[in-house]
Amino acid sequence: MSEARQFQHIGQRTIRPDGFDKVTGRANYGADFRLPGMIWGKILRSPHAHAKIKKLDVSKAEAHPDVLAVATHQDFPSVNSEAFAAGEAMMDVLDLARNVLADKKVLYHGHAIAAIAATSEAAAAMALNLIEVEYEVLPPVMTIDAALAEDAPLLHEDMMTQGLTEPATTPSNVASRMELKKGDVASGFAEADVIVERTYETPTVHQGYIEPHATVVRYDDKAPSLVWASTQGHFDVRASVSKLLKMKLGQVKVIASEIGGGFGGKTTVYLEPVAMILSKKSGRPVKMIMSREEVFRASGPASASRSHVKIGAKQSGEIVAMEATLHFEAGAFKGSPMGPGCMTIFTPYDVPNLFVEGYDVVVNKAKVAAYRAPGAPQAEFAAEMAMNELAAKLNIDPIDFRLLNAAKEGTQTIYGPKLKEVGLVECLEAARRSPHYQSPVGEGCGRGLAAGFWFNIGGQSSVTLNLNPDGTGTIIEGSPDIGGSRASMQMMAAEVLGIEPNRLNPIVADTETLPYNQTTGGSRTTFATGMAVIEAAEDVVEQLKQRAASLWNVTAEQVDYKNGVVLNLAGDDQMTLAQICASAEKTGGQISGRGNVNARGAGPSFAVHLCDVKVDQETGKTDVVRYTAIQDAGKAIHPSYVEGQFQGGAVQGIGWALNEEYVYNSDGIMENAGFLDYRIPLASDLPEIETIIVEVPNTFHPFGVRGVGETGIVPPLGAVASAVSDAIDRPVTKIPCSPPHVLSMILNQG
Amino acid sequence: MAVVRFSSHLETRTGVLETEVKAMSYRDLIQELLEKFPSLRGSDLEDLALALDGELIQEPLLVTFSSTAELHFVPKLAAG
Repeated sequence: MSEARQFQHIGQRTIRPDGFDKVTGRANYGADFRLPGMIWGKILRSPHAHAKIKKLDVSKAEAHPDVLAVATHQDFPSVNSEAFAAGEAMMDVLDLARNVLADKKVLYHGHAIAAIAATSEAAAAMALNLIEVEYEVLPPVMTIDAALAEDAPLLHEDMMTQGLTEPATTPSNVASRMELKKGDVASGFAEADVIVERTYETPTVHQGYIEPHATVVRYDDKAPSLVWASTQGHFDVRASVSKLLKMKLGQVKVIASEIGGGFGGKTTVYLEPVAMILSKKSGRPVKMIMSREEVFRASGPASASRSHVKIGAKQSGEIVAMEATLHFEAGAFKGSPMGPGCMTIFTPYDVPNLFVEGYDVVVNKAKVAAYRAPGAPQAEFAAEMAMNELAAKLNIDPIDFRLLNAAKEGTQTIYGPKLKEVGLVECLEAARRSPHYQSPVGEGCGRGLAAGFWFNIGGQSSVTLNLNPDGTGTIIEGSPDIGGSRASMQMMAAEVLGIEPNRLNPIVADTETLPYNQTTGGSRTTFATGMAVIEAAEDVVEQLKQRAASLWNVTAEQVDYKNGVVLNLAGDDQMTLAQICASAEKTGGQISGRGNVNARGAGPSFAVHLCDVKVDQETGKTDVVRYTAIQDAGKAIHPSYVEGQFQGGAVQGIGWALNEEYVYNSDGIMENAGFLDYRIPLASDLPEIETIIVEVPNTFHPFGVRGVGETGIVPPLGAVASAVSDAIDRPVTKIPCSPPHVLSMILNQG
Repeated sequence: MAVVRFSSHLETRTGVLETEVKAMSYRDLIQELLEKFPSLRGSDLEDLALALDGELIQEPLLVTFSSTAELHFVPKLAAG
């Protein structure tokens, strides 16, 4: 494809089709749904971070007149350890069942133990007090060091480390080990003139979506049971519920509500299977909503991590070797994003000798969930901090240092394949030209810079495009819209059909209306669902040509389609899309296009961020005074949404770098489970996030799309922490750079 | 012949980081590799995605390729 391709609608800033409903409060979110006869479900949660359940007696609760059903782990049909695809990754069905309702052991403070459905929300909450539980409290394992200690209490007595050269013979808190290598790092480091080697740490953080988890479930044994849920992937909610409760997929219908943020955290299930059990037992629809505190304590945060990084370079700036050991917390059950961390950590750089090993470590915290580019922010934070320190030691500008070693087309990645066309060099050059980088650093400020990489994925999407007799239509997609994808779908279909986007209404359909669609995540929707939309629109164009040909009594080869009009190449006739639709009843019935893809060729994305931070040397308080996000979008379908994704990723990353962290007491209880004490950035905390869209088209997508949702959260950790480091003239190795931490670093400087 | 490059994890089963194959389809590739490296199990490969000349393919069952192709087995990717 040509970079100079001209588009009619792609690249415009159209009005978002979902905007009016959202700003007027008309959009229906997870908690907005109700059904006749509906009752309320509440969950009893563990007061301990690690304990055996010696006794669980729900009889008093069951006997209460307001209580209509009680659920415990024993209500799950017998499930065995088995990997299955659900949400964004492979999951173990037994782990999922034990996470949804604990079995014999609680593994984190807030772990669900039992659930009650009662006639009112208050009655359900009160009845939780009637459940009797006896615990044998065990020492909590709250850190990587504690989990790895020789005498560490085991979370799972039967867990053997996978991925070792020799099979493990004793159980451990290390679920798995992974290793990747390229070249020979020992000989590489032998050539190095300068080496930087440090250990970096990142905390447990939450995705911080504003809308808590919520669901309404109505069990039905004669028709598909209904699940209404706030989720990034209703087809995978269906898969999880079906698997856990041994129901056929056709017995479960899931409707995705409007979603108030997910960022990866709504790619798994917590409430839905429990509500299904309660609904089945009570014979009534059941509604469940997590409180904010429950969201923090019991829904998946992002992994805390410890990364040991070593990078060696020649005096010329050529990097000769990079090496890392990564430890990622998985929470209570195996499955941290350690793997993507290993795969991404050094991918921005074309270096001959690389070695990375990673460990997936269980601890007594809530099971981690995906969070925007899972694993990459933690790992690449470590690499980027070391890169900046190395550039300073070599006395080379950090952009020049990166350009000298930048990954480009043909670079062999540590995870295997060579990169196709990518835009890191273009991002670095745009960063250097930016007004931000050209400006002087302010008094009392530091400046930081970091690059970031994320794969982006493709996957399965299905779309139907129905046209009405007046030439308007509906795009029926199965990807919950978490970032403005409906507008992008509208624009891509309009581009193919050559009509105005607002003639097409994009809707997110339920699991009965379309074939399977993968979860919205992995920056896949505009790429993969977009490909399905394009395929469906092209299907419509072919039908329009055939219908017109039949009306003109010519062959389909004798007609052409351009800008919403079919042209008769054998004569002077022409018909608009609307005219053909109006006569569709005479030519074979109404017109509907279909697109079913398993999209390949997702385009990797690079970003470069610049950050200026002012540090109060007396208090350690930090203020971001200027921030610029530069990223390769491939092709920006709707530039405003692309900029919004860049800004959103940057702001979440700034929060991660500056203030966000789970604070636990010595009993393993989170002490800041609310937005007053868990400090995410507010609009008033930050300057306008400046954005620069770089467009190096992905040749595998008809319009060049790469996907933009995740890469933007990768660089901020390094960019912000480097700026703080620059401001206080001391290497930062641990985030968040909250005032107490920064002040501690300042006071220890001497 | 097409070239297959293995990760260091798969190297523990193949003993080599790289091999050439006659296969020109994914199905034939799996069969040829399992015959060539008896320590490899089908699940070692079939649970992985395939990168064909740099293009990541999550479900490669029907993939065909040329004799000059460069192939890698890559963990299936998830995301947020």
